[in-house]
Amino acid sequence: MNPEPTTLLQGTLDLLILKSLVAGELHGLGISRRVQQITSGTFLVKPGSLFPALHRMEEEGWISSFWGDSENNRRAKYYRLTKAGRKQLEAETKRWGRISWAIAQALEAS
Amino acid sequence: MPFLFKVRSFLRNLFLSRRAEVDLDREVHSHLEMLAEENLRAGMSPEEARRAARIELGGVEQVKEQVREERIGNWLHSVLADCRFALRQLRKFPAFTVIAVLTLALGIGANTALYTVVESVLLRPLPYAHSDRLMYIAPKTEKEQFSNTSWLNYRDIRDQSKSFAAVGLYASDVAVVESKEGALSVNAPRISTNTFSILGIQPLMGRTFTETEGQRGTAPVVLLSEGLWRQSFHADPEIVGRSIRVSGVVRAVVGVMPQTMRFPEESGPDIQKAVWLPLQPSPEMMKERGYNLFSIVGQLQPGVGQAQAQAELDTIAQRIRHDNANLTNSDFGFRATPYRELLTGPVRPVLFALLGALGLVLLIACANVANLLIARCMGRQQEFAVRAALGAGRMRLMRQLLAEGAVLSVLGSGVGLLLAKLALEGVRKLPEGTIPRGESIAIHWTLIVAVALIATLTTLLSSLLPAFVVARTDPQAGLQAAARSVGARSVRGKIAGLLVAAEVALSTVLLIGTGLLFHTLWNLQHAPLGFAVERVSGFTAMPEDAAGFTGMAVSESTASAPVSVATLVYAPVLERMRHTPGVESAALNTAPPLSGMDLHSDFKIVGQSEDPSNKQSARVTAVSGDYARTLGTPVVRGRMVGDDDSATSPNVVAINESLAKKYFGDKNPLQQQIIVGGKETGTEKPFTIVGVLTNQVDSNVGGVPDPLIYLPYQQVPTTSLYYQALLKTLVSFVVKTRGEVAIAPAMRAVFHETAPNLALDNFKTMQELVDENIFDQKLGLYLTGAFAGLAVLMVMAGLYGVLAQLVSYRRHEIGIRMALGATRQSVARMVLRQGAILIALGLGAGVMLALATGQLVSSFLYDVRPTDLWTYVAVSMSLLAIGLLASLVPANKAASIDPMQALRED
Repeated sequence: MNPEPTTLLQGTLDLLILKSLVAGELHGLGISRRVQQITSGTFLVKPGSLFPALHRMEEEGWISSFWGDSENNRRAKYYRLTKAGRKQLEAETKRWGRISWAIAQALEAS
Repeated sequence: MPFLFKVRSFLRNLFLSRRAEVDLDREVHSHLEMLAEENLRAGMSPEEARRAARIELGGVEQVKEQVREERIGNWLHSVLADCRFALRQLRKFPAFTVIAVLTLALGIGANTALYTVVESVLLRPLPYAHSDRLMYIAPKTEKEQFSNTSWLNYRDIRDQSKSFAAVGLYASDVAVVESKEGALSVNAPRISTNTFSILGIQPLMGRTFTETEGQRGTAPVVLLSEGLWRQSFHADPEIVGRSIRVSGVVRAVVGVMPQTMRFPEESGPDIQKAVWLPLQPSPEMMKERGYNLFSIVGQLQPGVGQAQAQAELDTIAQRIRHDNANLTNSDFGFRATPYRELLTGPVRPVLFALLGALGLVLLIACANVANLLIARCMGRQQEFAVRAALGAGRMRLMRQLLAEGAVLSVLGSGVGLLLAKLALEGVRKLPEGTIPRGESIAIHWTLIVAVALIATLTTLLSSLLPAFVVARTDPQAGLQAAARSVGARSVRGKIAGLLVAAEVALSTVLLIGTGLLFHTLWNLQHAPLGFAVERVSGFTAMPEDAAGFTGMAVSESTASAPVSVATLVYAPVLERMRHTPGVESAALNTAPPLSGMDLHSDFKIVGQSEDPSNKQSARVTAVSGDYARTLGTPVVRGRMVGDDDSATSPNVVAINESLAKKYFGDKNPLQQQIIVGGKETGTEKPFTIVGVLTNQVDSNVGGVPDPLIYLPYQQVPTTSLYYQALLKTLVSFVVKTRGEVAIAPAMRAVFHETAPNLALDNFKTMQELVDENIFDQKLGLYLTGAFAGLAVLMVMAGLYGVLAQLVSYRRHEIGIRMALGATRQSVARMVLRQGAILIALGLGAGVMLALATGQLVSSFLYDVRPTDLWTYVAVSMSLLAIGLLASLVPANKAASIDPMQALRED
């Protein structure tokens, strides 16, 4: 929702995290790997940026967390999308579409 | 930056609870282990796997720190955004903002100012060493604030007590100080030499008294106050060692005490221009346990409580009773009270009552702002609904409103502080002595804390309710246009209405208080005084060799009684005064009404058996002829004593109605004989009662005057204590003039010619004395009146606001009603009825509250009951009128709605 262009990258990360959670709940490492997978390895989300983003988004109410068991029976914190998160994803997706379209236009024009 | 670091760590503690910390730690560690497992599965050795995982993670602590930073940053960001948004909102509605800020500023400003007074007067310690351990020790039976006891009692407490580190003795007294400026009568407390070390005050120059100076026969010495030293001795730097005349005695100045020395504090502002004399026990003092002229202060030993000291005092009192069989008083004993508590005792309830009243005003202010915010919320219903629908959390919306409240409170506090400063300037302009310790009133750092607390309180009170209302917003209903036209039946309308009703209730309480005080003041101004105030003035005169109340002694040689100063000095002075142009009559009286002069004495009625447990006592005053005529006081029976009653004619007295009623009942007091005092005071000869005078008000207007005996001034035996106490210390003159003129210049001229050695002071008209006497009630009335006025203004604004909002949100509905045939009158009536219901609700609650709290004000009232019916009726009627007035505009607005237009809008 923030119009400042400097948040573009952060917005991108948020968008990718939200997108990665559409299919279902994931723990931190799962999100990291899923993002890597859906961007064909373009984005490698380091824990140093992943965790702050997760906590911020949780506070915004887009995702919620709970403790569960991992595939290897390890306790891990899982995240899932909330209703607000889904709305946010929609809005962000639209916004991203507009931006990328605009940038593509701009690049073509020159 | 250590400061910022501190702020951060503070915030971290605030926003990351322990549980969250543990949670974060577990999360990061589990992430690390999962990474390692992944690496292990990829075929790394266990050691290598862990190492690679740690590299990818980038350090557990670093990750945790980044999360924390994110949270704090996010919080700060959103708080700042909230405040910015709030400011933008407030700028958009300048009228709302100005009203809200002013409302809060008035409430906060008044409270801040009063808090400063309370803090300075009641809470701040006295400027003496260990002032919290300073106790005043008084006889148990006396009800007076600073009641006196005798030197013998002091000696026993001093010698036997172990709870007190030191016990000091003092007595209030007066003296005449001569300087190049002339003779000046000043306060001259006699004070035991150890009192200075108890108070821990160092002299400005010179020294305090030595122990030997507290014994008889040592060279006379005196300590000057800084004020007197500056005024009468031009701040002479060489003053120490010089000799000055104090009441006819040449005394060496040993030191000058700084302004902070205002002991005894109960003397009031005059103490700033005082001299202190060493208290030297005289033979009379050491003989008589009933010689009650002295005050005892004691400094508690560290760690000793008031109860412990009291228990010890009880034991000492018991021992004294045991050793003195002639002590008839069965409840003889002592009571220790903290000195400061005693000093501020009389104003304590007043200040707390005012603080209570102002608290009500602040509550009303908060209610008003809350109402304004709620009204705004109704206008912003759609905005909130949209934001809620877009996923804004309830907390987020509530925080937004809290931010608005906080911004308003901060602005209000700023303006309020300015108002408080103005109010304190006003407090400083009050006559000196209105508030004890008034000179110490200043803004201290604790004020910042107080304002911060008040601002927090106003923020919470004014925005929490709107915030909860918003939190309950149902976005669906909000988004439906129909919901916008809900009227008083909606939750918000109800809450706003209840708030207004509460405001009405609170201002009812304040108005009833004002009404009762107004009634009291009216009664006081019309209370019988027993004298006429018109064109009567008074002043005091003190002989240069004034004996002082503590220096009195019965003359041993009765053979050669000296000629009275009454005949030698006062009679010729009075004669000259009467012949001064413009003077109608003049008289002397040692204790005229409202002068504060007071001498009580036991007396016996000749021929009546004595009852030791119920002694007869009365105030005693010496008067010249013409006194009753000068003050216009009617003689009820017999005649007034006069100038013909000379030292050689038969002894006669006049009494007041109180004495006649109390001690003679239905009997005729005329020609009865009384003995005033007795052998130990040097007056054994009986006086015959020849007249009864109408009661004159004595210490306070509206009070019941004490029994009083008028002695002809020439008949006071010159060998008695009364002679020194009445005629040789401080006498008052009353003068009735032909026109409204100031008497001081003419009177000073008279004395200059006939008696140049008398110090003249306290020139005041009788009207001034009466006004001063009822000043407290007047001040109380003005203050509560001002508060009530403030409250009423706020109620009007609140009521108007709520009704106006109501009308604008029911436009649609009103339009329909009118289209269906409702008349304009009925629409206006509907709005007025709404207002009347709110007022009636508030009035009912307010009257109940006032009835419940009425006892609190009863001590300020005169001749009015706290449940005075007329006050209640008048307040109810005027509040109803005020309420209807505030409802008229919205009612008119509702009545002038054009139905076609209103219906087309939606």
